[in-house]
Amino acid sequence: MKWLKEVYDLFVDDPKLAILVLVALAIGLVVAKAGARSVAGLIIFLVVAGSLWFSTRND
Amino acid sequence: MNWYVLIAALLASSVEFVEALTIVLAVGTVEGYRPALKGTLFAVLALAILTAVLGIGVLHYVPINILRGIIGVLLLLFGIKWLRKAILRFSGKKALHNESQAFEKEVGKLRQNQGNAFAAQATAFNGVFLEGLEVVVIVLTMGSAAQAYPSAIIGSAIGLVLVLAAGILLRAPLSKVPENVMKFVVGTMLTSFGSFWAGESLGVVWPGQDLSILLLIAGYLAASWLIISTLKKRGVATS
Repeated sequence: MKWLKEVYDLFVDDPKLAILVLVALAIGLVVAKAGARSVAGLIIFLVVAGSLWFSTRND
Repeated sequence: MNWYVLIAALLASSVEFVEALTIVLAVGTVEGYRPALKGTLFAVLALAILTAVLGIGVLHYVPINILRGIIGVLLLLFGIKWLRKAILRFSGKKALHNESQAFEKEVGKLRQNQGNAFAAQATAFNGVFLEGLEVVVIVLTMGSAAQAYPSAIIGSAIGLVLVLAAGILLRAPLSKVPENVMKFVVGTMLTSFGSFWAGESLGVVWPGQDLSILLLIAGYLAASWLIISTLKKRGVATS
């Protein structure tokens, strides 16, 4: 199981940030499915950038 | 040639190769270069097999749209991890990575076990394998999502040659390499590529298609600059 932890550590440093990034993509998916396909990208960018701000601020 | 992919692979792999070189040099200094190079060779072989198996498997069995979605998410997570670390270092919340210090620390650990060639070989293997794994992730993800394997491989190969040449010439850890700047640039690029490909597979329509990647890079750079200056101001205010 040690290798699984190595793979996890390769992608995740701050679990909260990783969850927020996934939430950003989920919101993007919902917005794109609702028909606003060109706005969804902007929403992904804004939520990811906001998550980065939140994560570094609370470190 | 896909220049975005080549530059990202070159910068990212150079950072990782510099870290691997520090470990190999430490092993070579304490136990001699035979176990250091043996450990390195085994690690390179293991990485080559892993890349071939994963690369062939991924390209042959996973449809490109699903592949771009999975890879986009992985790249986004990988890139934002690097970007976060670089922001924390630039703002003074985390110490800058120092290759000379890392070298001394590694030498100190190895000296406690001096005379054990197998342990030294294992240290070189672990160091090269773990640092190399990140290079494999970058080459595989960027190469397959952008369908630009040659660009990703050439970028990493140039990085390897540059770091190896500098290492052989200096025979010392490459402490003058601006590692945090490189990590910051690569983190921004990977986060942008990740957002683009993950978004595309979720049905997002990016204005200007590939041109949006440049907009995303500019956007993440601006956001990071804003975060760094805010953190610096907060640091001054609280001290």
